[in-house]
Amino acid sequence: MAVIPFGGWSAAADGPTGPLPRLAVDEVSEGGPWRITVTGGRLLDDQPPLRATDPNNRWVIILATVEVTADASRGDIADALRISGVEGLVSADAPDTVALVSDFTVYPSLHPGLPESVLFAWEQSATAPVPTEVDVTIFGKTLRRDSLTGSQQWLDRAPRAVVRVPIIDRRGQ
Amino acid sequence: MGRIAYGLAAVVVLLGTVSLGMWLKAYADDVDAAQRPFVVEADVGQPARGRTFVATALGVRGAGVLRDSGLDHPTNGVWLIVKVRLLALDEPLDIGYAALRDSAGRVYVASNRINQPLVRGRILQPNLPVVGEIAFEVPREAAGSLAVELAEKSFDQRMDSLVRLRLEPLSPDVVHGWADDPEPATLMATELAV
Repeated sequence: MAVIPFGGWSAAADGPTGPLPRLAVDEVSEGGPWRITVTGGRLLDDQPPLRATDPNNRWVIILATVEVTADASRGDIADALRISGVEGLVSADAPDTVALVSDFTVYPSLHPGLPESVLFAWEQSATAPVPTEVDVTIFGKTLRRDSLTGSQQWLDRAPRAVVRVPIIDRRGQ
Repeated sequence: MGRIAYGLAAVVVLLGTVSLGMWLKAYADDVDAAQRPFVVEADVGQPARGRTFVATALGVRGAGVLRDSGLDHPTNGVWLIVKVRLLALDEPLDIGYAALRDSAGRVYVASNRINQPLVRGRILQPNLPVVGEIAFEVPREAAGSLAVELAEKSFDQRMDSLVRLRLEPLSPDVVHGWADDPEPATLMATELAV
């Protein structure tokens, strides 16, 4: 809640302790509870299995390889990426859809040591400018004791790197 | 004099309470250990009796591709398909938690890429045992020595019984043979075992 007045995490170009590391596309971001490699970006028309709220809208897609480094499966990979520098997003923060590239399982559980190609999709208004590149912020979490329950949990979601990703326009294909 | 005595007594009681609290906090500092589930273990073919259900591992098979609802699901690791017999004891229930635990302690929950007829949805009726399969996705190198964990609650298994069914060790040749098999496998239909 505290970050909302300042634009939320999606607008975070810097981390809590200073500027975030800038990574290149295909460069690995190590950390917990996941290791992430952003591999590319696409712009797509609305099409199954994606389903826009307005069929004239388009989709900004970020592709990434995600591998769980925690010691148990995780179902919160929607927390892993945010984008900035794109106008007209229907959801300005969390992606509208997260799915496996291989079979389009939405919001999949990912398992330790099993890297998966994952797409993160944001719906964009048809009237907004077409993005040619976006800044993708990679978030991680910290394993620590919950101050309320005392149990070990992955908490303190925080940005850890930024990747500038070219967007390949695949509309009409 | 009496007021001084009451005051001293209050201080002693206060210090005692604080000390007791500090001792309890130190004693229970490892909450995960203090509140760990009550594990009931069994080998393949042997029933493990939890608080509300009984589970028996009947066997395991594997695949590189799993077919569900006409859609093929490949894996970067190997699909492990565990056949189990389940019996609710006193009340209807469903198995909310199913996972594989490897020898390094890593936990792989039942896949949500397919329909899992026995996990999160199938209501087990008391004294009506069912037999069915649960599919898990694990790295090939983790598939050698595994145990299936089953519990009634989906998200929090602390302070309740957790059934752990040890599986027979699998050789790397067997695991790789399954993972490299292009023929899709399907889960068996769940059936009553009466």
